[in-house]
Amino acid sequence: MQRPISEWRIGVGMLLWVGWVGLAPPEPCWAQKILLEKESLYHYIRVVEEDGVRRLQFRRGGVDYDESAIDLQEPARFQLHYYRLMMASLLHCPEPKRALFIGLGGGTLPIVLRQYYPNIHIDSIELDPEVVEVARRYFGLREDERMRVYTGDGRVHIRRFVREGRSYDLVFLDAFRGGYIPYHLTTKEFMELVHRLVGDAGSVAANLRPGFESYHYQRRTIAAVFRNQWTYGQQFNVCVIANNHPQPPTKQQLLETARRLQKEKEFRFDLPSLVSEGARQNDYQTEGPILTDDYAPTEVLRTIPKE
Amino acid sequence: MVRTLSIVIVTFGSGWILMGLEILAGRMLAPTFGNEIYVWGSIIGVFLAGLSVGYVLGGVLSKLWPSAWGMVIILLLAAGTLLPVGFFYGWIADGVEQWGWSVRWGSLAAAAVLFLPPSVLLGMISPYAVRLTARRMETVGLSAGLLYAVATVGSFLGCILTAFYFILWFGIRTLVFFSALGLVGLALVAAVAHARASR
Repeated sequence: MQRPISEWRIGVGMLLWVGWVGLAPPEPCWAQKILLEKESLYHYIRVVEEDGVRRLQFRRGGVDYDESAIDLQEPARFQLHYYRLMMASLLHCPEPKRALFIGLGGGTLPIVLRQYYPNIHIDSIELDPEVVEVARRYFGLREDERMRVYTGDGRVHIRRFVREGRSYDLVFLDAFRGGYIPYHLTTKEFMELVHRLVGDAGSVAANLRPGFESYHYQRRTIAAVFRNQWTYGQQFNVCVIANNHPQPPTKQQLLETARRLQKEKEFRFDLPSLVSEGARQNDYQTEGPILTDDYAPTEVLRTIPKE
Repeated sequence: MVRTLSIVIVTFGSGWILMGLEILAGRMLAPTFGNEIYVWGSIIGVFLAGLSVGYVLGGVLSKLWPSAWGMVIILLLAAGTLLPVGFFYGWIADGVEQWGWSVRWGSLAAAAVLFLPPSVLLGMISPYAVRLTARRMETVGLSAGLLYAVATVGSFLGCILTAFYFILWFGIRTLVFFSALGLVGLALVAAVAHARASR
């Protein structure tokens, strides 16, 4: 027997429906498919697809930050501006044999780096297990003995790597939590651990956001550990390459390396143009305090504009 | 009046310092155990466990020895427990990490080693304060309620100000030593309460 639905229930139902329609964000008019929307331990994660390009987004403060993007048909066709900037690391380390990514995201960079360097050994550390799952299921990351993923905190893992005596030619610092870098991955003590992984022969590539006070702190902190720094890119994102090479190359030498590599690897992006538009050295305020484990107000500084 | 006021100040101040310390705890453990959610869970858990033990001990002690001297000693001991925390937190956390436990149990153990002693001691303050301010049976609930409110408002301010401003202005170590100094100051205030009581 079917019971009649009481009026108050209909009323509540309508209220909920009106509330839902009123509060739900307007659907975008373009054809964007939401493949995954999930609250993980650390982030509000979305994976969206549009025109064959998938994006991994973290929401923070009502904004969905693009953390990773990939063209599944052709991963080497970069979908985010900063990927190309990060490849500037190859100018300073043209033949990487072992690379480490701190912050995996969707895994686009490791996937593409391996396409260009088929024999490279890549380790990646990712805090959020759900993000690793996204990289595997939606971004096509395949793990094997030369492509390994470690789940957990970046600093905890590299402390262990240092203890185990591991070494890398290139370390990519790309750990973002929706617009900012966790403070313990910015301090001098952290950079010293990274230095022990790359030694004086390897290089570090850091994805940083200029335009905030924190940028100058981060650059000074890197400078406290690494002698040479180059900046590629201008706004929103820059890639800073740092190392302790005894004889830093001139811009002309960098350009030659770029041309040679471009020919050899047939990159889908233009490496020589990175040198001519970037490769600045001291584009930050060199005087001032640095970040340490004891003093690191980075989240606060992050919100203070530079000027 | 002065006696009640000084007990209120002690309650407020110890609430402030306890929560300020909890915020700093996250910063102290992050270099070793990361900024993971487990680490925050461990810290909050340890402080709550410490408080519950402290409430019992404080209650028992206030029954056996209802004197403001008790508070003075508790506060000085708490200040004393902060000194090794301030000097050696990095070494202690690294040492515990070397035991090779998982991040969850390792961070819980490190949080317990570092923060259980001060949180037990600071938890003893509230029941003591209730015992020392209660005059009559009818008003004991009122004074307990007011003291809890005072302690919690202190905790609120300690938490917010530390997270929003102090970490921006000072280093972690400096703030731990300020906290220890603050506890010594509160011990002096408690001594005033004692002097007033014994007149």
